[in-house]
Order: sequence, then C-alpha cells, then structure tokens
Amino acid sequence: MVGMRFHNILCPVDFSDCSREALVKAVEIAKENRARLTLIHAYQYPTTEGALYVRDILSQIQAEARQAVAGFCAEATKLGAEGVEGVAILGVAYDEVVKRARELGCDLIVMGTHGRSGLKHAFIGSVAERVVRYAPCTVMVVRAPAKP
Amino acid sequence: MKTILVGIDGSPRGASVLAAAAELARRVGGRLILYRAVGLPAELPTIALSKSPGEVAALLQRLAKESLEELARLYGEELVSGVRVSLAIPWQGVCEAARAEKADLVVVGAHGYAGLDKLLGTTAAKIVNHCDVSVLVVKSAA
Repeated sequence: MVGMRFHNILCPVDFSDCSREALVKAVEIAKENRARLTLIHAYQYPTTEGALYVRDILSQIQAEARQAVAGFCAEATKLGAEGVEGVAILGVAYDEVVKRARELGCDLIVMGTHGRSGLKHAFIGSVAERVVRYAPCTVMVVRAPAKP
Repeated sequence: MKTILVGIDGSPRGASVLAAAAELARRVGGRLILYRAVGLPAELPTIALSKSPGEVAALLQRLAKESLEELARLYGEELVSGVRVSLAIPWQGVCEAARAEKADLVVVGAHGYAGLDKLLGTTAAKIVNHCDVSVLVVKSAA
C-alpha cells in the first residue's frame, strides 16, 4: 500500500531554475513530513581529452560542484528544512540518483525537469524521464509554471 | 483549489495509485479528476464481438467510464470532482486531459515491471517528458 508519508527524500539538483523550483517543493514536503532531505548533484568531467590531463581543472570542477551543493543546502535551510545533507558526486546524473536513492532507502525523489518538449525531447529525453524509469521509489517531477 | 488529475489504467495497481492521490488531495484540500485512456485492447470483451467496428470504441469508452465512476463513488463527491475518458494513447491522453482540466498536478503509477518495460519506455516516463504540469509517479510496493 502506498502511503503519502515520506521519511527520506532525495532531491537531485543541477542549480538551474527548474531545480530551484524542485528544491522549494522538496523542502515543503520534507517539512510537512519531518523527513530527512538529501540533495545530490552529479557532475561529469569535460570530454575534451586534453582536459583530463590537467589535474587542476578536475579538482576545480570537484570543488565548484561541492560549493554549489553547499549553496543549495544553505538555501534549503533558509527555507526551513532541517539537517539537510548535500552530496556532489562524479557520474551520470540519472544513474547516480537512482543508486543513491537505493543506498539511502529513499521513499521519494523530488526533481525538476527542463521545459523542453517536442522533437528535441523526443530524441534526447530527460534525466527525469530516466529517473522515473529506474527509480526504486515514488518520484515527484516538478515542472515550473510557464512564464507568461 | 487544486485540481489533481489521476491517470488510472485499469490494472490492479490503479487502486493504490488512486488511494495515494486521494490522501494527497485530502491533505492539500484538492479535488481529483479520474482519467482513463481507452485503446483497442488485444482481447475484446465478448459483448464487443456483436458490435460494428464503429460502436466498439464507444462501448469501450462507456465501460471505462463506468469503472471510473465506480471508483469515484468510493471516495465521494467532495474528493472526486469528475471522471474523464478518451480514445487515446495513454501518455498523450493524460497530457491532453491535464491541459483540458487545467490540472495543477498529475498523479500516475509507475509500472514497476522489470526488463522490457524499462527498455521500451513506460507511459509514466513519457508523461513526465511531455506534461505541462508537475507529475507524481507513484511506485506501489510490490
């Protein structure tokens, strides 16, 4: 039986406006349910081969990702969430989200989606779509209201 | 007042998706619209065999509507504001219905089948991609 009470929420973020909307929703649900909230950001290294040899670039990317997640955690705390944790992880977004949801035993994933539609979306799809497909739990996909 | 469109596909897990949506609607003070897309099934109900092809779609829609109305009665008018059926591919039907009803949220079930379904793409994944509003994909415990 599905309960609409959640204890452990995972909120994937990419620091876009859509993921900020999702963060607001995630905090709202977390507060309502007194649930644990974890933010996750998956990043990838640049694919240009040369860049891989420059250690400085890689550690910089890592540091920036961690910092950005910390910033979002601070925003969540400001919105009233308690004990928010953030992880920045190297990997493919949907894969890391699904893995982490399983590891943490999450019962809800709250994430945003970019408002792409039509052909581009039909071919490329979205991270949200893949997460929905593989997630071990209920997923809330937040779509920001279209700007007039 | 929040309008929540619930996509129900006539499978056994429909009941738990509806239960989840109902609990949500109670909490946010919203009302549900139950929706089901009707397509030509591989197996027709025997009553359809005596019909002309044009009548079959109407019959299937009527049967779907009746099943939704039955579910709606379980939750009462204060929670369910309407039922809606259309002849459509499920994910398109849900997106269209959400638009037509000006829904604030769509609630659908996740298939939870392993293998082939994941490969081919579930209805839920397509809805997430194409719907104009937020979508809650409910995973029922197996």
